[in-house]
Amino acid sequence: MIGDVVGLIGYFPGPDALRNGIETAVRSHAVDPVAYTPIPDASAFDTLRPSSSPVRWVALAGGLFGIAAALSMTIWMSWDYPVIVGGKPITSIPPFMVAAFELMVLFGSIGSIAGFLWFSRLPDLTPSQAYRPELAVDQYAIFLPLGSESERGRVERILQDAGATEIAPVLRSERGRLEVLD
Amino acid sequence: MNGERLRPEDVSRLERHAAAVYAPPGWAMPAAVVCVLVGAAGFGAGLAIAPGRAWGAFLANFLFWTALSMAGVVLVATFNVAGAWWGRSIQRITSGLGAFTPVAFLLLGALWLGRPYLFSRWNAEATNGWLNAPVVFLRDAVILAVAAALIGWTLYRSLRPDLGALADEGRLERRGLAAFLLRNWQGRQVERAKTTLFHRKMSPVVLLWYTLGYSVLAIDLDMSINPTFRSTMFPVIYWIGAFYSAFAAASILCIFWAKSAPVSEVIGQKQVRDLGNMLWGCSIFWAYVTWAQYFVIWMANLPPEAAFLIERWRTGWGGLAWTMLVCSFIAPFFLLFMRGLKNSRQGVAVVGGIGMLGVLLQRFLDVMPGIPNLGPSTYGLVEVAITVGFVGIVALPYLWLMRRVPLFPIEDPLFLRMLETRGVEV
Repeated sequence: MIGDVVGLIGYFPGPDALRNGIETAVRSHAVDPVAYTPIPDASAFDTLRPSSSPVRWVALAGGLFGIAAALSMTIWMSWDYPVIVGGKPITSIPPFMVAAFELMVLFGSIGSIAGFLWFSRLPDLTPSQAYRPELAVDQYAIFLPLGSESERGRVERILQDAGATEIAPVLRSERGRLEVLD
Repeated sequence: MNGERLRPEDVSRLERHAAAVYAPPGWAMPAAVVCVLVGAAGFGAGLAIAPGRAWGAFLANFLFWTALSMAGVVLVATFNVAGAWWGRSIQRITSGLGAFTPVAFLLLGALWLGRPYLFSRWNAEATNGWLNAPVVFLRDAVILAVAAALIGWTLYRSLRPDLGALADEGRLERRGLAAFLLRNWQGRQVERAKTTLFHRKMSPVVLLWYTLGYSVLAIDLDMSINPTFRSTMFPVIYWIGAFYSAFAAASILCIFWAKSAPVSEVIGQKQVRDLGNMLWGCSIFWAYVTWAQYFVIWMANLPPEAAFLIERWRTGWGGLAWTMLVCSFIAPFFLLFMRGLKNSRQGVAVVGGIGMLGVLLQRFLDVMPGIPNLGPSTYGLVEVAITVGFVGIVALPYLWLMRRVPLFPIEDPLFLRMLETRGVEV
């Protein structure tokens, strides 16, 4: 052994078997399953997808921040150098709405992108835990992390029930990288 | 099936189901006739009580339904210009509304009779020769005639391959409208190619005529009710509102056809959500252009322009104005945040109905406060009855057409592609 076992990876012969495997894993309350597919598979995403994405709340927060920032900025600047134009009040909401709208869009977009990157754990500059090159060619797999060594038997049974054709432990390498034992 | 590419056998089954002429629900035609009668009674009562109210409601409805009729076909042109395939399943359902435009051409003639009640301020207050009654009506008649011709041509080219395919397979008799549309039939391949070429060339023309022609219509018959009021955003608000209403109408018509045709099979969950997204986007864009008009008026604060807003928001019409804003923008905007509602056909249809009502109320607010010698904020059963009548007048030609043609564009290559990939997230 080079290090601790951090999870098990199970290999599946094709996309249908993988989808069934994911469904079984999800039904068995496997924690944080990770699926590997050589091409994007919408149905696998749908099966794994959590009920709702938290990204929208980050986008909402960004939009609200944009509105607040724009109104604060315009109102403060207007009172810092108060000039009455055309008989309008110093705090004139209609023109400030333009800035509020634009900053809402700007920070809402930034919030969406930032939230997407954060919750997708991107950028991921090193291969993820159980990744190996074959998974980008023609292999399908599910990785199930282990909370502790005692869970190994249960997780192995989940992968067996799910129809995995091959199951391998994933170890933490001495350098801190995660690799698959051949 | 969400998220899956359909299996070939499922696609074939859907194609078979889609390739048929479906009759609308049996109650629809009698209901439309009843609506027309209610409208006629309301209009007659209105003429007896207060002719200005009756003609005002007539004009507001005329403006709303005429633009909606063209916008139904504009959706098809937009899909063609954009190369969009998601909406292929709803395009026939909405483009059938185009059958009302020739009727609108006739109703414009009826409006001529109401001009003493509607446009009497033209001579007194208008400052140029643009608002000269015979010229205005002639100009608008030409606009509607060209629009009707474009709609007719578009429908002819769209329907011809579908009807021909059904006739070739022996599933449709070549008589009546089908016989007329299938004269000089040249075979499926040739007709399909001709239709594709037609849409490529004529769709931009349809879009241009809609935006330019209906801008003039909005200025002539809607903005001119207040002859001293001028806004370059006014026509934009008019045809954006109609475009918005066309998507709303699509969502309602999907429910209308659900029991008598395989709508829920052909129009998948993804298309319903796309429709909800389009409604949401349209409501935002409607608010955007409406705000653009308000903001400039507020900034300049010129009496003729400001009076237009004050009359509608700070008098007895204020309640209706707020209802209009809630229906057109606030309610759809917040309701369509909900994914569950956006995935529900009924939910999207309800929001579409609310949005459509908002745009209709906007036409009322354009027209009614500007009618000379009308009491402040006068509206009630007369206006409701006339609106019901217009629903019937629009429904009759729509039902007449749709019971004779396939509900889906079965020969459109992008329709087949839509069926194959209708559940796939892209």
